[in-house]
Amino acid sequence: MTEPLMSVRNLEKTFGALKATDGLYLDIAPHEIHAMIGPNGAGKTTAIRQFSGEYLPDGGTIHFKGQNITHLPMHKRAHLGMARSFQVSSIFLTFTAEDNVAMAIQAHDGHSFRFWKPARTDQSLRNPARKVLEKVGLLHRADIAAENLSHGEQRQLELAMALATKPSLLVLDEPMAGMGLEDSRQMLTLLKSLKGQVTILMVEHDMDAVFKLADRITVLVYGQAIATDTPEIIQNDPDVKAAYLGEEKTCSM
Amino acid sequence: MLKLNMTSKNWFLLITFIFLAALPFVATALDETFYIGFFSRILIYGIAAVSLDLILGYGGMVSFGHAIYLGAGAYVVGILAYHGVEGSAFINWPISIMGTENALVSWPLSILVSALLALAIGAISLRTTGVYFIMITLAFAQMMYFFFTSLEKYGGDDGLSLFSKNRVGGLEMNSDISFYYVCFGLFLGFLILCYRLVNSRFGLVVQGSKENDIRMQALGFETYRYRLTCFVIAGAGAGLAGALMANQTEFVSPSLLHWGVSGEIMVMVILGGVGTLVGPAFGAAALLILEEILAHYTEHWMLFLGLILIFVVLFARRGLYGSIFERGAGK
Repeated sequence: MTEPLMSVRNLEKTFGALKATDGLYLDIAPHEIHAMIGPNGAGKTTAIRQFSGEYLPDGGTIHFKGQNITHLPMHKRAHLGMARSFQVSSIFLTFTAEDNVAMAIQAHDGHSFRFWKPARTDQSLRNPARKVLEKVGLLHRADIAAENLSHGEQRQLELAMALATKPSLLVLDEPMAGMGLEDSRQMLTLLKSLKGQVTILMVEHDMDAVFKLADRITVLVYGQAIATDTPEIIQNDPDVKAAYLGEEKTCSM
Repeated sequence: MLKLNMTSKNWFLLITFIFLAALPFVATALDETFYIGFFSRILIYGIAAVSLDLILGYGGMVSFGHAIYLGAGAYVVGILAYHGVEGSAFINWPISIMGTENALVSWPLSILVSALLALAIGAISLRTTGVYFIMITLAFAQMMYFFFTSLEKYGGDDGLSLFSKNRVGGLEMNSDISFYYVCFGLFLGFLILCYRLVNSRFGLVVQGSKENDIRMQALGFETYRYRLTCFVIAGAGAGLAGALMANQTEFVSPSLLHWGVSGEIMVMVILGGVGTLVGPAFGAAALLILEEILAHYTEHWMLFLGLILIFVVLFARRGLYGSIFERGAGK
């Protein structure tokens, strides 16, 4: 295997008595779509938050592009090329769709201690923002305030913001959460179109989507990776079946 | 600014502008010169309220200590004038700062001192959010209040009277009319500056951080630095208002730093419309005019003010100005 884009070693995070991340190992290869699955409470979101810097781990290391980023603040990781989408849409609701994406462009266009020129008419931000909106199929909604977009559109916008920073690693926390059938299908097509262009690490409950998209899947149980492999092998792994897929019957996902 | 389409809002602003520009002449002609001083005061409070709106309305930083910067700005003018009249130095070491009554020296110093105070206070306060932020800014306000109360040399509790208004270079400013126009000019300048600011890249970062700070960090913004800068700019604006205030009343005292003054400025912002920039200036006008009228009839005018405030908060969330002119606007 080539040098991994991100590699996680023995990561640990404890909340009180709960070991949310308990010796997690993970390698993300360049250009792959890597899905992280696991039952509720397996520590998927906690893990993602440590990758992006929202939480600092109690132990272990995270390397990104060969650099130790374990304790690097969030904004610095973003500048290294890590972009993240959130489980609950974290867009700026009172801003228009285009404003939202322009903000992401601005974040990677030098410092923002610019006090005089109006930013909303700055074509060096607006043009690339419209290009990204076009890519995710939201251009016709560019001038709509984000709070007035449908749920599916908000998820698309969320992804657009992450894409706008031209990341090398896209960390997606349940990109299809709460989506209807049609919206999911659209998102699936969109993510597929990104395959090979950008490395994606995603947490997703929609198993159908996971098995269609992912090159490799890591199964997380009790804060540990119990298996990492291709979808076909994961599907037939007895441990995984026991720990996770079997539960599908008892708990609705 | 060039492509003005004359909406009712712009008509309203234009009429207000003409009114303020003509006020001294009209007041003189009608022999009601009291209003020149009164409206100077409104403009000064307007600067303070607009500066608070920068952090409160756009940055979501509910500072309960905005009077600190107002008071500090006023004291800089007062103390320098005190030494200026005496012909002594404020300090001799490490650099010698002579007292002065020149506005071109003392007003920039007021702005600078208030900005530095805001930098120190903001650097600590902005590590907290929500109710803790309110409490910590309030705590700083109380500290500064008692600090100035203890300055026996400069009048302590009783404050310090100015001998006269500051000079501007070689020009005297003792006519109320010239002072009014200085206030008017600085108010307009500050307002335009703030308009540019909130719509600039910097302004959008501050507003984004108000709405979702974690998201902004995930996008790659080190939001703390932007918020702190905004806090400092607001402090500097209030410092300018303080310098003007000292000149308007020709008197400074610790009561300027009282937390009640911070509350009053906040009421102006809420009354006028949080996050509308010019709204809080109208809020300042509304509050001071109400105070003037109500105080005529009853000494319990605060009671009526309270009722009006409750009405605004319940039924006109975006304030008097905001509800009328910025309804449904995204910002």
